[in-house]
Amino acid sequence: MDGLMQVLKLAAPKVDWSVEGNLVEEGILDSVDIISVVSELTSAYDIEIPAEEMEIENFCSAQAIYDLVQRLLDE
Amino acid sequence: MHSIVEAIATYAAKQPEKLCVADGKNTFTYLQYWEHIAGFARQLAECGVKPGDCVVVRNSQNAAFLTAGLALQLLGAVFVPIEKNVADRRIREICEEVEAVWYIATKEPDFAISYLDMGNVLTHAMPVSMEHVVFPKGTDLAEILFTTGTTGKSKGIEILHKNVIAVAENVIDGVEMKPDNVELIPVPLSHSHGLRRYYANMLNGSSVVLADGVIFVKQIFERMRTYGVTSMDLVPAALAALLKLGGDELGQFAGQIDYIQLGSAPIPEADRERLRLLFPDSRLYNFYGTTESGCSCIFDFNKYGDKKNCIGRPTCHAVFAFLDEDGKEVSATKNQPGFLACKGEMNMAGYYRSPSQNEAVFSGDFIVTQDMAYIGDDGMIYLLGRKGDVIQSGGNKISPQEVEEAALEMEGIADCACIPVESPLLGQEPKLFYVAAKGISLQEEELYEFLKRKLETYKVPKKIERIDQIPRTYNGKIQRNLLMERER
Repeated sequence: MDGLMQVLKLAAPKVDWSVEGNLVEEGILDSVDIISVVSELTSAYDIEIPAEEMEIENFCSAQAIYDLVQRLLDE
Repeated sequence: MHSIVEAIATYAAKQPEKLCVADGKNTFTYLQYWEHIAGFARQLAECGVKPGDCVVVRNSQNAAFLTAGLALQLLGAVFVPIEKNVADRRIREICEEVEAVWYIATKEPDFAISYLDMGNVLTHAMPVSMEHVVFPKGTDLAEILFTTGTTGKSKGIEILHKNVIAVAENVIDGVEMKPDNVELIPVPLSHSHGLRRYYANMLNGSSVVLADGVIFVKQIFERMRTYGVTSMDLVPAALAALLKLGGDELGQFAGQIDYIQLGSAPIPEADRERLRLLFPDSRLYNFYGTTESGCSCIFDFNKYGDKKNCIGRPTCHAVFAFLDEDGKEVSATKNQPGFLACKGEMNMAGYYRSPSQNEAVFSGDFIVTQDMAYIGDDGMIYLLGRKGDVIQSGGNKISPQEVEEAALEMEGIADCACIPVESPLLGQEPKLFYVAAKGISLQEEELYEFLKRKLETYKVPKKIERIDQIPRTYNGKIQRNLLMERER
């Protein structure tokens, strides 16, 4: 998780990743941040995030993004 | 038909069960949608809203927001849409500027004004007896649209119902919209671009599927499948995001998509090319227009291919002329372009309470833009850029877009913007700002050498600077004014 937090902070430095609740629905994580997060995850973990995984539930918190990355790495 | 709300009422009688609007949460047929509009209009009347009153409505990017807008128009009141993410200070300024009597949003404002919650909008549907309904006249004020102000201060633009209808007809005719069209609109509905595509579909008796952006591609693809979407309305920034996140999977809809329309800002060549590959048999349109004079020119880049800077042909209500500095009509050519001026029923009534701005922009019936353009040998209109943007360098005119497109062809360039800067010898010369792709170390000299191979010598910028980000508006338009200020 620590490694992921570093990647997320690099991708969207202005976002407070410790906030509880839905980062997307509360407008904390905007579309530009999400594109940046996807780019960073793609290069940091050498994964492709398929269109089917591009849904709010997978980006609503740092934990959700962590779970997504783990799932894609396991595949 | 004198208003969009009249069109919806007419279709509610003619095709009551047809899909009208869907937003992911609600799906309305024409009859249901009309009953919601009429019901909320009655609620607004009970709240004391009268014809001519201005009501500011904050975009919630769903059917409730659009219902509120049309309910106001049915009452003869004026719809003043504002952005979803607008700052609180700006909401207050706009409310004060238009002397709004009510404010409708999902969150109460931090200043005193009569407030209606957006959650209230879709709770008043009622059967309507048509003999008591009075629709607005074409000459009534329908809405005041506030521009984002890329070229200066944000301006309020007055749009009459007849203007709304003419813009909608420009779109319907331009894209050859079929009655059974189902259009996906994921762009902001508070801006003229998205709002006008929605109006066009309503006037055509077609269907609209809304989405809040394109980032969550899974949801976009699901809605395209569920509702059998046949067309899409995008701005270049949304297209770029969709191509990046959806990848080639977007191509699965190639057999389903009749057309994709884009507008608001120039589309990067690489994105245009990729779209053509993914949708070889669809019509791919780029619209030119302004909030002041909507959807006036259209170009199908799948049919006509790559014609640099081409904006195509005028739409059905638009008549173009080219004017010189003194406002005299001229025969514009590539070397002697004129200011593009447009007349037609789609032209705004004027800027809100701003006679001096009206005087500056109107020349008789024409609205004169700062865009420098000419007619090519093929009869199509070509844009060189805005007056302040076109670079006048030692007697040559340089289109900043041409320089940018050439630079973007170089691997490792993620984004760029070209502006004029002062030159003691040439008057002006081009300067290029660029953003390097992640992990790429690129020298200015390499970019310079690359551009020398792509462009005529006088167009190659000798001043090149790397920056972290190119300033852009929500729809991807470069904010050149910010870069120019930086150079002063």
